[in-house]
Amino acid sequence: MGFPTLEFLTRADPATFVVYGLARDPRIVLAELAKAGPDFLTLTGRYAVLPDAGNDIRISSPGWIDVTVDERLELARTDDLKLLCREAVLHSTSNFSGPLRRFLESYLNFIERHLRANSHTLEPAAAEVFAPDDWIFSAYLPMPQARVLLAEEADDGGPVFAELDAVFFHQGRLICVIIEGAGMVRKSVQRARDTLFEGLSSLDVVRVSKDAFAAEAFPADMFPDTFVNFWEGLDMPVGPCPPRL
Amino acid sequence: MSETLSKNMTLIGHNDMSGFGGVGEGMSLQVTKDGRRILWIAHEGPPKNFTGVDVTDPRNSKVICQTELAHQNMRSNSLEVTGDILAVAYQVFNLGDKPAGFELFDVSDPENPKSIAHYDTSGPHSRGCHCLWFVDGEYVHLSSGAPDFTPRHPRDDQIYQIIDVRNPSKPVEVGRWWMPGTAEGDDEPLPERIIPEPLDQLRGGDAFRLHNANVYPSHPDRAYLGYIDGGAFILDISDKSNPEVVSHWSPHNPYPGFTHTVMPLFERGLMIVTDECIKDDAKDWPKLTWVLDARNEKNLVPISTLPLPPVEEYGHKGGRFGSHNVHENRPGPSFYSEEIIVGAFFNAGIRVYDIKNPYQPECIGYFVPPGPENSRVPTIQMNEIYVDENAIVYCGDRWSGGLYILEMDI
Repeated sequence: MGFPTLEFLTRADPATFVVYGLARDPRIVLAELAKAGPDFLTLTGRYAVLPDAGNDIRISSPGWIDVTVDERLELARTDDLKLLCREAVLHSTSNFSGPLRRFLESYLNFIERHLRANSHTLEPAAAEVFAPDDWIFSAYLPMPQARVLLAEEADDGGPVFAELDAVFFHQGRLICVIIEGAGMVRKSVQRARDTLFEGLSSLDVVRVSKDAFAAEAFPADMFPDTFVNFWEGLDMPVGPCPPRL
Repeated sequence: MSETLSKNMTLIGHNDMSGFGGVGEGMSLQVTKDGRRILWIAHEGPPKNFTGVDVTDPRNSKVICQTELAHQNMRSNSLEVTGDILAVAYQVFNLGDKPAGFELFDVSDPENPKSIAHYDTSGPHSRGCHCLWFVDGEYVHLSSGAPDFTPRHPRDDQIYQIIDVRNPSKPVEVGRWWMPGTAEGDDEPLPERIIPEPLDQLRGGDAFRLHNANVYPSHPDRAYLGYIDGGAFILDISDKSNPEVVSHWSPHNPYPGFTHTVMPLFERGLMIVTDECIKDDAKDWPKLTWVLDARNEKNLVPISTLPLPPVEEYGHKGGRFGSHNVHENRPGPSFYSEEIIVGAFFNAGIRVYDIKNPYQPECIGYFVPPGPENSRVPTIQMNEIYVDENAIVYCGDRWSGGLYILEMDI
C-alpha cells in the first residue's frame, strides 16, 4: 500500500484510514503519514490504518499509547496501567465534548464491571501468571472524535473525511458510534457519513442517545456479543504499550 | 452595496411585512393545532405592535395578522410564543407612561389574537419591559422597570423579574434581582460607568440594566443574564423568590459595554456572550461575540471570539457593525446546536459559525443583502434571528427590510 493515497475504500485499495483524537485538521495527519513513506505505522495515538493495524483493535494493541521507560518502571500494578490507558483515552477528546466524554467514561466503567461480573468464567489456565483484571486490556479500544477518510475528493481536490463520535474496530468491521440528541447535525457532516455508510460494507452503525448512557449504565446490548465479551476466543491477556522494537 | 454577499446561505423567501418592515428583537415560531407554522415578529418601533407571518411554505410567506400599538410613544420590541400563548413586551418612551410591562395573547386562532392578561410594570421610574423570555409556558422572565423600583441612575432601570403565568389570566411576580449598587438604598456603590453619556437620554448605552434573561427548561435553576455594561451573570434561581449570583464575567472595561445575550451550551460547558453594537459607523467597535469556557460555572474564562469581517470594509458602510442577537437554542420548533452559532450582525448580515473547536471559531456561512429601501441607513441592519428545526433561518432588518428567509447549506 502506498501513500499518499486517496484510494481508501476502493477495490484497488480497500484500507480504511481513521484519524482520531484531538487532531484539529485530519488533513495534516494524512499529509504527515504520506511523508512517512512505506514504513508508516499502522496504529498511533492519532490514526489507524485498517485492517493493517489488525483485525481487532484492542487496548492491548501496540502503537496507540506510548509509555516511556521511566513510566513503565513506575507501573507496578494492573490498576496503574489501567488508569494510564483510561486517561489516555479521555485525554484524546476535546474538553468541550461532554456527551462523548460521558460515553467513553461509561464504556470504560462498563468493561471493568463486566469483566468483574464474568471473572469466574475466564480460563484459569494461566492464573498463576495473570490476574483476571489483566483481561481488561483485551477490551476494544475506543477511537474518539474519529474522522474516516472517504474515497471522494473535495471541490479543492483535498481529502474528505466523515466525522463520527467514536469508532471501534472489531473482527474486521468498523463500529461507528453516533451520539444522538446533542444537537442537530450539519448537512455536510451527514452527507459525508452517508457516503461512508454507503461505501464501506464492513461497517456497523450504533446510534445511541446521549441519555442512554451514564457512569453506571452502558448500552451493551447495542454492540455485538463478541465485542462485549471481549475475552472470548483469546488464549491469554496481553498488556498494552509493549516497547517499540 | 447593491449586491447580496453570501456563502452557504440562500435567500428562499422575503416578506416586507405589509410595508412595516422594521423588525425588533423578537421572533418566535408557533406550530398551530392545524399544522400551520406562524412566525410572530416584534417591531423595532411604532406604529405596529406585532405581526404574524404564515411561513408554512417559507418560499411563499403571508402576513396573517398585524396589530397596532396603543399609542405612538411606545414599542413592543420583544415577544415569545409557547404553545398558543404569545407574550409581548411593552416599553414606553417616557417614564410613567402606560401600557408598560407585557401582555399575554391567546393565539390559538392566529388571525385573531385574544388578550388574556396585561402585566403592568409602569411606574415613576419605569419604561416598562424591553425584553422577555417565555419558553416553558410557566414563567415570563422580564427585563423591565417596576412600579416600586428606583434606580440610582436613570438608565439602570430595567431589572430582572420572574413572573409566574401558570394561570395566564393572573400573572404574579415571584422574584426579582438587580445588579447590586444600581438601586436606591443599596449598600453597594453605584457601578463605575464604562463610557459616561449625558443623563437626559434614557435609551442607549452607559447602563447597568438587564437586557436578556435566558432560562432553559433543562436547567430551570439557572438564569443567564446579559446585564449591558455589567456583563454576564449566572444566577441560581432554584428559589425564585431569592435569586443568588453564581458567577459574573464582564469584559467592560476595557471593552465598550452592552452585554446583550448570555447563552449557555450546557452539554459542552461553553457559553456564548454577545455585546451589542449600538452606534453607527463603528464608533463603538469592536462589539464582539465571546466564547467562554463555562465548565466551571463559577470561573468563566473567555477563550475566543467569533471572527467578524474587516472593520475597514464594514465599519463605514453605514449603520451598525458588530454583534447583536444569536439564535438562542430555545425549546420548541427551533434549531438546536452547540456547535453551530447563527447570529445577526447588523450590516455584516447573518453569519454562521462552527465552534466545534471553540478555541478557533470559523465562519462557515453568511448572508449580507443590499440595504433595503426606505431605511435610515444605506446598509442592511440584521437585528433579529430565529432558526427553525429544519435549519431554515428567519431574520429581520431593523429599519425597513422586513423578513428574510434563508436556507443554510453547511
